[in-house]
Amino acid sequence: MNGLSLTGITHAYDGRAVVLDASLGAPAGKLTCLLGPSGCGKTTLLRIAAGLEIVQHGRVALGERVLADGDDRRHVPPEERGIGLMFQDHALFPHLTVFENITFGLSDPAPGRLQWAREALARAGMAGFADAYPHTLSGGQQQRVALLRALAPEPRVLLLDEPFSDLDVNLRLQVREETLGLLEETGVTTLMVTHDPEEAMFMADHIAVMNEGRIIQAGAPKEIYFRPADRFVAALFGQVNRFAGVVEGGRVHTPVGTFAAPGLADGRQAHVIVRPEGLRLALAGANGPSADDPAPERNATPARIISAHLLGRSSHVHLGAAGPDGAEIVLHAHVPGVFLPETGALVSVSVDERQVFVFADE
Amino acid sequence: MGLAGTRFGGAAGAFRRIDGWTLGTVLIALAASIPIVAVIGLALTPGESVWGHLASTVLPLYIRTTLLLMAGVGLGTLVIGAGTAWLVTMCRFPGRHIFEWALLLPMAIPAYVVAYVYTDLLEYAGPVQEALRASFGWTTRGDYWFPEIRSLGGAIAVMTLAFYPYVYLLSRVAFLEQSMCVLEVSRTLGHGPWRSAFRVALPLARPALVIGLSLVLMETLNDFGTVDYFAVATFTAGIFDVWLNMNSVSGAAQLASVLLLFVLVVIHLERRGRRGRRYHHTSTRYRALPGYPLRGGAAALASLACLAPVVLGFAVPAGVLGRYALTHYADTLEADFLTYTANSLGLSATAAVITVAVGTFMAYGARLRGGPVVTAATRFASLGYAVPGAVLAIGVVLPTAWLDNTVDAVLDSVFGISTGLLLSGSVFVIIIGYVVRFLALSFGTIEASLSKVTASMDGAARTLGAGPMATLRRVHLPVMRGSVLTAAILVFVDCMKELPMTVILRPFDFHTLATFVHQYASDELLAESSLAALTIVASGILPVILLSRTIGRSRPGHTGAPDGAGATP
Repeated sequence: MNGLSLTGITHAYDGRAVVLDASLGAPAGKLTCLLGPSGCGKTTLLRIAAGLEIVQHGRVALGERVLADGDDRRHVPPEERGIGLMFQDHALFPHLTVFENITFGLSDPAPGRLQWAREALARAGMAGFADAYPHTLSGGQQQRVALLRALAPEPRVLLLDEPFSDLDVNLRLQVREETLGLLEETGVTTLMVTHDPEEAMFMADHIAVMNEGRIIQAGAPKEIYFRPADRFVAALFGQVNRFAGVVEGGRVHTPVGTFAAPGLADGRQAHVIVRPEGLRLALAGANGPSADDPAPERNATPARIISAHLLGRSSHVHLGAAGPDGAEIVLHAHVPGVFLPETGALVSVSVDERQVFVFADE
Repeated sequence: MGLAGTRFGGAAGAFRRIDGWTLGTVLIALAASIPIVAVIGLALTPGESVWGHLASTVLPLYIRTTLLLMAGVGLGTLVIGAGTAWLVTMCRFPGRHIFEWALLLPMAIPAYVVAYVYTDLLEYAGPVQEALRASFGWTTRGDYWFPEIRSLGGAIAVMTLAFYPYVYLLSRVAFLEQSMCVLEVSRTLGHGPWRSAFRVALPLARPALVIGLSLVLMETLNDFGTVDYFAVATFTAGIFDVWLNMNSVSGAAQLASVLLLFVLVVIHLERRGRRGRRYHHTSTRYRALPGYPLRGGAAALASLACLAPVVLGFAVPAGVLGRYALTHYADTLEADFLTYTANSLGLSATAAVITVAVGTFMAYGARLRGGPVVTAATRFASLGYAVPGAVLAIGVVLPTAWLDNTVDAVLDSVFGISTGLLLSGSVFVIIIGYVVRFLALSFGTIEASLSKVTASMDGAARTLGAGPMATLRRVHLPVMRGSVLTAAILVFVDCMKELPMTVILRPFDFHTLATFVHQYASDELLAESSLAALTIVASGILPVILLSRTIGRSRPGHTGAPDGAGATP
């Protein structure tokens, strides 16, 4: 493969395995996201790719060139790999100015690269900060400097470790777009680690989902979202409604409807996940169909509003519905726009089947 | 394998194969512990023992005096140090900004110099009593009562004035670091400023106060000049007495071992303080400190409370010495002042360079190989700072004498050459003593600066194409440079002031500024040695400047803020 590839990586600290037979590719010129909760081993994979961690088992290669092979005891030191890494804490050198930080990696500073550094600083709106020291910069500015520093030596691969986690929400969105623009412009092969699924969806050409040391699924963002490989991936994008049921006639019955269970034999225990955005609500008794759901499906479920909260662009609604044994169960629904019915109001709930995922209950 | 990787449990690499760091650190620790081991070893060796004699005669007196001295100095420094620190940090009153750094000034003057000056002022023939006699018409000692400065009380007063800055320094840093939020929480829960101080701020600062107190007690145990001059029978004075007057090395070693028990208690106190401090940060938010404004009488009292220690601990001694130096400088010069200055400068500079080099090696070893062995080794090598100079001196003399005798005997039997004493009685042993005693100072300073280079900075340098040596050269050394210099200055100045070890270890008829001043002052010739004393004070000003600069920048959240948005509003 052209680009960075990690094959069969297994890694342990003090006998505790943190990465288990993980294989991952970052295709040339694309942005790949390694997505997973904290402690899942994704930063370790990144450090192995950079050469800061000596690989124990498995292989790291850039194009045809093998950089590290644990079983062969081959290890190209980090400074000879041509792989840039941007750290979560930015790790700017406190004793160097902004400009000196950015040009740190230029061994024989070509005038062209110095010029590039100046222009890049100017475009980041930081032309006046070239001689400033890192501690005088804001978090967003430090992030920009760290990114430019990693890009300056023109690495063949750029690794980003949670690059936006230090920034507050609004700044994060802005810096994210700037970063994406800069990366697309330079066309550098990028592997980014994040725990934020929305960030991964926004940035990535490819996403690899990691949990407990294993790569669970890799694919395009749409694929990850609409065809999750298992429960973990399906639940990755936020709170979900979970139901348990038994497969009968190729279908599972849940309090919000009956869904196809492809590939599951009759009689098997199934685990059904319905994303909150997959529940569509229509106020009962309203004249005609509701605005966002012109044609309510026939198998709609009656439910009662427990509470409704406006989040801004959408509303989060808690619903009470009749469970399998007659007890009330609580459903979570995510409705676009303002939807704030009175507590106790009756609604009918229908389901967008693209947001329903049925898995065997292991 | 790189500098960073090992911290993350990376596997074998170039450094690990030749593990010079671990070996070197352990060797240094062993070497640094020889003096302490030697003292204990000799004390436990049965032989010509004066222990029974000591125990039945002077030991109870030494214990009682030492405990009283520690209690008095401890209490005095706590009240003055923490009190003034609270005032300048939390309140606003005239002169506060000056007192912030001026309160550190008494650190520049060694306790023994303070003792000489006050004796000169307050003894029967001194100017104060003369003035009293003149104005009240008294003629003899029997006509009035005046406190005797050469007493335990006098020693407590002198040492309190000289050592309170340790408590001031640490409690001020602690107060500055305290999150304002916890104080505000206390206020919103219905406590006034005073109750907040006693129920929240002081308990939070307690670990820092304990560390400051333990440093004060270490200095108190270390002091020789004051107790010798005042003839106060403490352990240190006793060790000198037994060794030099009773001519019993093993007796001195036995006393020193008992003194080490006191030291152990103080070290334990300090360790507890340091452990506690880590857990006393409850919030990471920092806001401007309140600055309770004081008015009228309260403001005047606050100013006076801060002024008194500065005047008594610095202005008076420095002023008296300065005046004497103007009138008597010729006497000092005549007494070979320049040679003594050269001796002091040479010894201190050599010791500073060696100490800093060894400290840097240890700090780097600890970073690269932070295993339990290395950690224990660095701990052990750092014990010297807590051990009184007199004890260390005995511990240095014994092994060097043994080494000299062994070398002499071996060479004599093999080649028939008698080498005599090679090391004993040479300046070389003084330097060994200085290095052992002040190693912790340089190690601690450099280690703190190395911790500013985070593991990801190492990683960043490596991924940007810098190899391990280039990372050391381009990142670590520049970041450490300032601290290495600071460590060198601190060690240098402490060596300039050092008295007890120098007195014991110096070659015959060899003087440093400190021993010269001590000898002259003991012979009632303070004026004639005032220029030398003033030189010691002048060098002592250096660390005061360094410390007051560091402390101003110490407040988290304001670290190095370019606009000078410092610690205080």
